Amino acid sequence: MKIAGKRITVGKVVQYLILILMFVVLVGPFVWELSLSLKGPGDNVYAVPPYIIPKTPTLENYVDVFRQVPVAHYMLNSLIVACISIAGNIILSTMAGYALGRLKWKGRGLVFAIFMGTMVIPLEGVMISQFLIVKGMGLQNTLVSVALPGLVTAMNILLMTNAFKSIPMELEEAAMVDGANLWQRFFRICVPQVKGTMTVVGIFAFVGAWNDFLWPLITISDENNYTLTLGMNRLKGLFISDPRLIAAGALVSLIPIIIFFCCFQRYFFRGLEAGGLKG
Amino acid sequence: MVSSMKKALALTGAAAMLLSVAACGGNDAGESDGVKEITFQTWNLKNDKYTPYFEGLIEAYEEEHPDVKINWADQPSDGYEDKLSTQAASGELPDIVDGGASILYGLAKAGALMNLSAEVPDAEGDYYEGAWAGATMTGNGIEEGAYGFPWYVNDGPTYWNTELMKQCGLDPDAVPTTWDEYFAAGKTIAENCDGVYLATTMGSNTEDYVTAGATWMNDDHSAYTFNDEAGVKQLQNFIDLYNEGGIPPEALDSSWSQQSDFFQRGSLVAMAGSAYSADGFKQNSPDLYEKLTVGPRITNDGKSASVSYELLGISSQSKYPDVAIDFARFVTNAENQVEFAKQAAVFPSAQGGLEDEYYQDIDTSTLEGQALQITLDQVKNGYSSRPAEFTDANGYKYLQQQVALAMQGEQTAQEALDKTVEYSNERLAR
Repeated sequence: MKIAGKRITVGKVVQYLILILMFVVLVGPFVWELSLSLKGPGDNVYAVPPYIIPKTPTLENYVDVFRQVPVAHYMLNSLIVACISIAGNIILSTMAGYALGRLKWKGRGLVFAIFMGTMVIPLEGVMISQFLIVKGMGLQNTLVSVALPGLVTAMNILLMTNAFKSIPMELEEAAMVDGANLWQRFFRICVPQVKGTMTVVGIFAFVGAWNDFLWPLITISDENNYTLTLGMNRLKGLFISDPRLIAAGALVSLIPIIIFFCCFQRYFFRGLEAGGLKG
Repeated sequence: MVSSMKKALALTGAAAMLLSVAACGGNDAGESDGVKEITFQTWNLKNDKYTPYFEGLIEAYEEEHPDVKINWADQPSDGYEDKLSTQAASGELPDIVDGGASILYGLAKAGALMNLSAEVPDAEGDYYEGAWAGATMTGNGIEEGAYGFPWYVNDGPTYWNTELMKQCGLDPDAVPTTWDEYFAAGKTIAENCDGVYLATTMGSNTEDYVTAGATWMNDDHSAYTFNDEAGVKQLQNFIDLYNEGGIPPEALDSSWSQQSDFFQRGSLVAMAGSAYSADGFKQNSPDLYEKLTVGPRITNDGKSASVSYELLGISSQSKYPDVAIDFARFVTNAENQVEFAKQAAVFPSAQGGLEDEYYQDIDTSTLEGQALQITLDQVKNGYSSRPAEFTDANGYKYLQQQVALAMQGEQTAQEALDKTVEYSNERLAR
């Protein structure tokens, strides 16, 4: 093995070529956006062939984004929604996942099927009744109402159910012999086994809440409660759109996501691996 | 297809729930202490460029009417129809809503908007005939009348890339203006140039047929008629143009929105744009801007059929309908419309607006000026060929899909239009 690693083989070359290709495909659009957002009014945005280094580099587009959109305020709103959503999804889907994955009770299959059924219903179909419910609760136009429908999603319940199912039965039986009750088994034995998946659920919840557009648009009318996606949509002009400005806005909204991923990426990968049964 | 289904679903839901909610009380507009509060909702107009205009407008009105308070709400660019149908269904439709005829049609049909012809009969005389006609809806369960005050008007010239014209054997000083000239130009380009297309116009819009002599709909709006001889012949022309290589295959995807990117990259010889597009070209592709010239929209009878009217509808549940109507008429009066039109390179719909001195002496030394001049003539003589009931969900998107199938040779021009007529007729009655 070691010898093969030091030699340059055809296989290695192909491997690296594929890696480089993937890098370009995945990172290319990001670099393009970055370059676009730094281009000034003298740059030809549609030049053929396209060029990456701006001829008239400027930060003006970013200044414009911050002037036209109260970025900090909307970011805070988005963060509040994201935090509610993360907490809700982690707590509720972990509990639901345990009940569905490890406990035996009547109607479990039916409940599971109903949860999964909600995955195929598009928001457009239930949007109006959902809004009427939120309005009936007197919550319209609040950040809580933005987070409420996504407080726990079927996808996350499915993830947690599978994670709990993969814990060997013997582990819990051993705890039972030691006299642990249901809650103790849940908290002490099972939850520590699925921490990785819980992190994944949290990340999904964050990204979902951060990028959601249609539901916040429906439920929020007051601009003070806008989330960042709603605010950034303003950069699209009705008559003339400036692609540089939109690119700058997109990058600004991306920053928190990048920070979030940098902080949690090790959990993210651990969580993905934890899907299979550990020996 | 999926998105149009979703929209249809949302609109039906809105219509169904409107009645049930109507009973539970209307807007949460302020009251007591004598101040009449109304909400004025625009669509994507709150930004650096137009905010000062609207703030000034509201201030001026409130000064004249101290007992009135106008709340200006502005909705972002995307998802506007979804927002409107939820607002209507939950009884929260703002007193004044901004939208095109096909957007307001669903609301009008659900009873959410006032029939202004009945409510304020004298308003009709304040606007150009074509504009009032553009706001008028009729047939299929709608009481005939205008369901919005005409606001700004939009149309535009055809932009031509002169450099490509020269390369591909066309004379930049004689741009095509009729469909025969247009299709002939397509042939010439296909013969002389590789990788260059004429344009993305391909029969996916109502004006593409009506300007070639087709009749879109019968007079009482009970049936569509665009599968007539002229309509089918026109679509066949587009199919031939596609087969010759005059239309980029990407354009067949109806959700594709990069016509303008293609044009600015120099892959298209011509593009049907708006009057304000010239300004965008100047900003985003300065090299191309130098090489552009403008001509009128392609039409056989000298009239543009692509004029579109923005409207201001009044909620039928408004607490202060008189105030809402009065303010909407204030926004759409000639003086205020001209002021807005100047800033946005759109056009006024109020009587006398186009006679404003601003339009008498347009500086045509720049591309923007030429575009404005040509569009001005189109707006004066032109009309809107897309009936309000031909909404995205009830025919427009379907037409685009059927046309794309015909281009790919899956069906004939006649079949494509027959199917679209049948599909949209079915939806008329709903």
